[in-house]
Amino acid sequence: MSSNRDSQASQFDENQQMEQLRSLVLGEDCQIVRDVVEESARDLVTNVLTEALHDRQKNDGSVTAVIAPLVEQSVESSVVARKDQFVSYLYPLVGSLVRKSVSSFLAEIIEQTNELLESSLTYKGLKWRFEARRAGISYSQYVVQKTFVFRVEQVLLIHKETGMLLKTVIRDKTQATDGDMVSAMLTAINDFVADSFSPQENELEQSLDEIKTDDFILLIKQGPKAMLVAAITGNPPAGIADKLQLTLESIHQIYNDELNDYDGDSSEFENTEQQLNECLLAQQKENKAEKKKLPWLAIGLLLLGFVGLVTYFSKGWEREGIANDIRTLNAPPGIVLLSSKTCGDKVCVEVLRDPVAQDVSTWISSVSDMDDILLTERSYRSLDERLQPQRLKKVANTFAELQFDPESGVFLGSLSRERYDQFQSMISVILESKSVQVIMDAVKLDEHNVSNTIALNKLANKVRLLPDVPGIVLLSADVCAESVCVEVLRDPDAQKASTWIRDIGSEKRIKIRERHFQAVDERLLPSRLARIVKMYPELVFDSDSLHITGSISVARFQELRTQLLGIPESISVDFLLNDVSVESQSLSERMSDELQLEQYIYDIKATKIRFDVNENQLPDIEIENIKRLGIKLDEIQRLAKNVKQTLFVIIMGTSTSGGTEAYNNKLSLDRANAVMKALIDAGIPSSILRTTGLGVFDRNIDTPKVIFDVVRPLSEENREVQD
Amino acid sequence: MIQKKICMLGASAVGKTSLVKQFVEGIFSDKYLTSIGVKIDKKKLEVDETTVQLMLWDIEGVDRYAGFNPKYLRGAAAAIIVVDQTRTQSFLEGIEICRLVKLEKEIPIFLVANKSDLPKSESWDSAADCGVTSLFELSFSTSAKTGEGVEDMFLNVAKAALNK
Ligand SMILES: Nc1nc2c(ncn2[C@@H]2O[C@H](COP(=O)(O)OP(=O)(O)O)[C@@H](O)[C@H]2O)c(=O)[nH]1
Ligand SMILES: [Mg+2]
Repeated sequence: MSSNRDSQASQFDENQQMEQLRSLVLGEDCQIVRDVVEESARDLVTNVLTEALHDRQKNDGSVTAVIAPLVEQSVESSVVARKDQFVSYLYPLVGSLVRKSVSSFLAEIIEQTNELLESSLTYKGLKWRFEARRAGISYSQYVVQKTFVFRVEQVLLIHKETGMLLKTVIRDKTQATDGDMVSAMLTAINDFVADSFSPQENELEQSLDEIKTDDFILLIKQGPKAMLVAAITGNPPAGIADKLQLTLESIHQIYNDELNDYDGDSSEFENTEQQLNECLLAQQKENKAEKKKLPWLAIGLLLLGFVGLVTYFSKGWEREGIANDIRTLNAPPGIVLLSSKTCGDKVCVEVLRDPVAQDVSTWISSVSDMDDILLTERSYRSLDERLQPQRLKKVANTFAELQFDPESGVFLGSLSRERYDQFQSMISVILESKSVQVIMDAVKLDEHNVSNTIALNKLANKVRLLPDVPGIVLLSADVCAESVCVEVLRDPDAQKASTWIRDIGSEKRIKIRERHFQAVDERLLPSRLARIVKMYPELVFDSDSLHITGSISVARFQELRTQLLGIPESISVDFLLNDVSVESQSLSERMSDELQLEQYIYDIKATKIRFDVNENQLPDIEIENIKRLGIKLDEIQRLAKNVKQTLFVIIMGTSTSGGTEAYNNKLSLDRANAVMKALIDAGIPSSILRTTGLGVFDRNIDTPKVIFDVVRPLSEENREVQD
Repeated sequence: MIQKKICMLGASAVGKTSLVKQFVEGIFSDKYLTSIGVKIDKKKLEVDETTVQLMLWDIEGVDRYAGFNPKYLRGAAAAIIVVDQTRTQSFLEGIEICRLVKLEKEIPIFLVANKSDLPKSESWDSAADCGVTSLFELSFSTSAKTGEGVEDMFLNVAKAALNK
């Protein structure tokens, strides 16, 4: 029985152990096994998932139905959540699509043509006719000039969020526009416009794309992170807007990170200069005369054909290379590439070309022969001054009776009335009215003495050829009446304009008109610094090493530093001031006086003159102590005077306990008086000494003594104020 | 060179424009002032050996009721709220503007009590003493008239804008 029970018990134990073992091996509720199975199942599925999806999709197409909504949903939600980011990713892409749409191109041509038609009938047309007559040129020429002359004067790249100028390029460096301010203002105006006119929610923000003023147009291209602004004089064609658009897109592409992380440091955008420079286009466009006569229908058909070609282009990858090469070619004077792209099996090249410029085929020859090129050439009149010699030569051929000097561009001789007028209208087309005047001044209607004019012209030319000097910009040098009128911009720190032209000789015949401007030119630094340092006679300036030496007070040092910081050239002001020492002695002297005074006062307060019990005579052994105290009192008088303080020394006698209070009071006062007498004998003025008897000062002390205190009733400064 | 945009805010006639004038001589014409409500000036400073150019946006027409165009705060590295210590009301308005700025943007905000050349209004101290200073990065006292404290204030703002 008992054995049976034993065996039962052992069996029970065994079961229990088994259970334990199992849970050890397999985990609670077999978790470990399930994990393993699950894992291998995942492996199994992984191995066949793609194939399975593929097969199922092939069987009944149900995979698409399941997955598509999932994908759509997640894309949608992430686009919604990060709209701005997506827009900026897509921008370069979308931009190029939009640009390719030919409709904007069509719209532009039609607009221009409409303008031509319109203006020939309207008030404006009549006015132009009148003005054309007055200027002595044909109406059509005048219209062309009026319609198409333009020049990009400045291009600004602006960070959209902060409104900061990232980079700007200017055609005419003397035209000192303040790019920083223009940028900030444009951004502010833009914000203002967006706010004032933005219509509905969710609609694209309304933004500025053009600001017209009397004398220029600001063309504004907006990207997600930056704006590109071109200041244009005249009447720009749509090609400019395209060019800006392209440039802005490429800047977004290249500088995406820099634009996102912009923290006020614009130097990262220095390299956009090249791209911005390419936007500084200048053209005086001219439609071919016969083009004007083309009937509407023909224009339409031509353009439709063009559209057809553009739409047709498909796999011209090999042509893409040539098209690209042409785009990167440097255009010679008088040729402007409008577009170069593959179309069908050719490369379509569209250019503007001035009739006197070199042939397009010569220009392209280094890249491709003309067989592969479908050339669309439109005439225009370039403002490029490099073409002027050719133009003038053409005129000289027509007017063989005049002497022509190709070097100075001067015509000499006389013409009959009729020829004179003809000559004038030809020159007017080529040159600006100012220069026309110069040329016309030299040509006589009849046989007058022209030598004076020639001399003046030569003189004007000499002025124009004067070497560049820092801080002076020549604006114009023209013959006016009996002299040469010279107009310059001059920095106040530049040399005198009269000195500048002295080398030429005939100063008397030159009239200078000078306008001030601030140049940024390192070469002006010596004279700028010299002028500033001159106001500080305590300093010495060496204009060779740009060293400033000497010492100067704190206030004047600050003043000088502020002035130096105002210099437009970049200099390290602190480096310049390295050798200038600042006179802070007066300040620190007072401070050290004050410190010493405190130290002496502390010493004096710690001094004790011991007396014998019941004695009012100064013991001999204390004579030495009194002497030392006397020296200290001398010192504090001197120091107190330096720092404008008044002091009194209180001499306090004490006594030990024992005896009556009255006795002790008297004894202690006698002791103080004894010390005072000794001090007066040592030369201390009695006026700063006061005595008092404290009586029994401290019952626990058994050596009677005299102690000291120094009081400063009120400083003299304070007293003055209080009085 | 680093550029930083700083916005000047505050009730009208507290001296924003005068402070900026005192700090830089105006460059841009006042013409835009009325039309678009902001006037911009710039000034270069040297902060710990780096040159900073502050673009100062003097924002007009800010009062408790009219508000201001929050777009002008875009890209700003700091805001200066100017109050007039002769008018306690301008202080309360400054606090309100501060709240509006904080809703819009997380930037350091500076409090400037201007016209320190004139006596404080009687209720000034009790208003200024109610624990609002923690709203601001730093507080300054200036006088656009005498120039006292102006340079120092802008220098501190420039420093904060740089270390943002
Ligand atoms: N006494 C004094 N008057 C000031 C000061 N600052 C500005 N003002 C005057 O306060 C008025 C308003 O100044 P303004 O700069 O136009 O204020 P804004 O509206 O905030 O731009 C003007 O009459 C200023 O002359 C100052 O510090 N002291
Ligand atoms: Mg103002």
